[in-house]
Amino acid sequence: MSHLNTAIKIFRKLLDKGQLDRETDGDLFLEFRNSEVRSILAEFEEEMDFRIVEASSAIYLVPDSGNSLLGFITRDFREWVASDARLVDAYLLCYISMFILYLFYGSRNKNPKQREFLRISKLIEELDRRFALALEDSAQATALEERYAINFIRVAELWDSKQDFEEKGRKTKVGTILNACRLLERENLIRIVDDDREIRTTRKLDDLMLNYYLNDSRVGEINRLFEGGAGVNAQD
Amino acid sequence: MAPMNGRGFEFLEGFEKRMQIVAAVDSIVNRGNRRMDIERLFEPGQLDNIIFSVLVFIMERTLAEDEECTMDSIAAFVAGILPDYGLDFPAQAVRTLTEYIIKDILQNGGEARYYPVMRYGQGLAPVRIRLIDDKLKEGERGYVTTYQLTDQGYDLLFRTKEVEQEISFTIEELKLRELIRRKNYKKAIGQSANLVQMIRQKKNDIRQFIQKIRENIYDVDIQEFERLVSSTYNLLEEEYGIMKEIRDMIVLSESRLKEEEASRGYLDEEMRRARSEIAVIRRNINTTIDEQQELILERHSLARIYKETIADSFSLSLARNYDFEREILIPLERCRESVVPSLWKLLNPLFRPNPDRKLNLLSLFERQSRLRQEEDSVEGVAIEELGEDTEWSKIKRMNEANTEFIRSILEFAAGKGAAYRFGELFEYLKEREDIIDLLTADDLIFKSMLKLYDLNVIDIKAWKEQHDEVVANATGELDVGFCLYCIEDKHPDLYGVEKIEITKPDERVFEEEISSRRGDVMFSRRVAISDFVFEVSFA
Repeated sequence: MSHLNTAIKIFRKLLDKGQLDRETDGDLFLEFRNSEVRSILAEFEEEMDFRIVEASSAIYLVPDSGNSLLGFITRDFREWVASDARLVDAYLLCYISMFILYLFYGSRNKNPKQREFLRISKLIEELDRRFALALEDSAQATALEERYAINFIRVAELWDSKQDFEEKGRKTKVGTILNACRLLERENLIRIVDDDREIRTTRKLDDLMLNYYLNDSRVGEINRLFEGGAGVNAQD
Repeated sequence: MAPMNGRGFEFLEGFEKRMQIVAAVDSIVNRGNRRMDIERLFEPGQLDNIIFSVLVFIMERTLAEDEECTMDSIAAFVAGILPDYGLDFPAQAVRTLTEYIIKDILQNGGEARYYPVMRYGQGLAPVRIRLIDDKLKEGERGYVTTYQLTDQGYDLLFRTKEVEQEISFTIEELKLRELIRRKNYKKAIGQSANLVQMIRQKKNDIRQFIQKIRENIYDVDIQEFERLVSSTYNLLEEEYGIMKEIRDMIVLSESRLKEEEASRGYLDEEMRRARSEIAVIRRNINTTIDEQQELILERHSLARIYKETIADSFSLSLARNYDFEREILIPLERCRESVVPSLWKLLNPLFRPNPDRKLNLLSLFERQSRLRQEEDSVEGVAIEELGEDTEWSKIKRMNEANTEFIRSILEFAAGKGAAYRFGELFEYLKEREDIIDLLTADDLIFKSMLKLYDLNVIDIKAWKEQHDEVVANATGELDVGFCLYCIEDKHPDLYGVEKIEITKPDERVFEEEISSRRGDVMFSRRVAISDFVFEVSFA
């Protein structure tokens, strides 16, 4: 098999599954280390706006954050909440997802992973605390410094309006969190265990966070995203 | 350690090791996440005893093969020891107590727990305390969590009892040396046999420990790993030295016996028995030494393999990480409204590629093939049309096709009376030879389907209430309002449908081979599209 064929085979596998494991595809995994194959794949990466992230026992295809061809678009997020979801719902979904990542990988230690599992009840507590800060801040009208954007205050209010605990309905806090969790679970990033009371990260999420997502070199890209100048606009 | 040497505080060298034990004990005795409703049920110190007992139980279970330590087995154990404390709780309370001990106390609610430890010469630094670890296994009824001790947990437990065995191991050796010297061989046989057992046990422990490192490679700091490996190795080498010394002494004893035999010409019964006993001891000691040697060699290669694996896993993660809260969480809380629709980009890098979204571009390109080409002859003279006219008739055709598509959706819904899939609709349309070509030309039906999915809903009731003027659709793109207006002309009740929601509940895909003619060339291609669901509400 030529190097090009091998590279295409690897690419197809990555496109199909998002990852290639040493355990199940040992041969292709080894071929990936071949410099010829690697350089062909590098051209694919360049042309199709993605990158290949290497971890010890798997490689992953990661779409560049602006890549709407291989990745998600905002409407998917809204749709995940509900067919009639508003932008604020998608904002909340995104915030909860990022907050989960923060609680797992927010450590400033050499190993940024700071917990093994996260209980849903603990997540609610932490989110309550975080949103309460925003609501308090907005209540103090005298504050000159704007610490929170008005949109975020709306997100906080939306969170605050949801009922507490027990019920798993979409309008409750538990339901909202589980909805976000199921999205992450569908992408094989977390597992929801113990009768929906606890979440744990998968090896894929550990690999991607530790080998790519948290890397210092991504700060510029993230900053640009928040400045609104990150190129491709959402297909809303 | 220069600063200490200067002050004469050498006795504080290795002080951190002492404190690590304090830290481990502290994590239990001064446990966080206290739930007073549970704590209140116990006399002072009772719960500390129970927690330690649970730790010992977990150790026992993890050392034994084929025994899994689950929340259920721990709860059963707790229920078994509670009567010793004069306590009797119902099963549910025992379960709650067990979960409290495991999750809240020993696992600190899933959060990392640190304890400041002074390393003289280097300063106070937090040491992570983690006594048990868990693993997820996929069982018949979903995920099962099993628990085992961490190396810290083993260390703590060994030092609370097995430490005696550790010390006695050395004392054992010393005692043996003394016994040989005093020619009390009988007892020495048992002790040398014990040495073999102990070294084998030690080998097992070490293997298990290494296994733990392999399973939790991300939790182990590479320096810590090296320190542990080399200290165990040093210990083994030291023991190996002592054992060798003992063997030398046996050799000496044997030669003395020989000397005695040679000088006396015979050995009395007691001395003969001593000689055979020495042979047994010698065999045991040799076995012990062999086992140790094997262990040392094994450790050498294992240490190298693990070092490589760890280096491999850590080399990338050692890259500097940004502050998640500062770079992502806080900007998220302050982001402008215009940025909100772009927030999906934050998660995009973690999600699986999703190329099917775009009408499965790959399959369109992949399987397209020319079926046949008819004769090349030019049939008459092409009628020259103005570009504008061509464009207009194309738009007209597309509008008609889209209207027919929407009408068919309503008609099929009325006939079916329930939710249906895109695939079913397509089969229905295939039988309508008068329109299927129109719909599949330029993939119009698929593009319009995606547009509908984008819209999520055809809300006829709302449309009826709102529409008062209709602008002719001049683009040819799907305009549901325009289509409904056209349909209403012939079917004023719009088939009695009030609302149609288009959803994608699963990953089911509809595939179809489409043949079409371009001029005098036939093309065939395979189209794959998500098999959307039309959910229908009637008036």
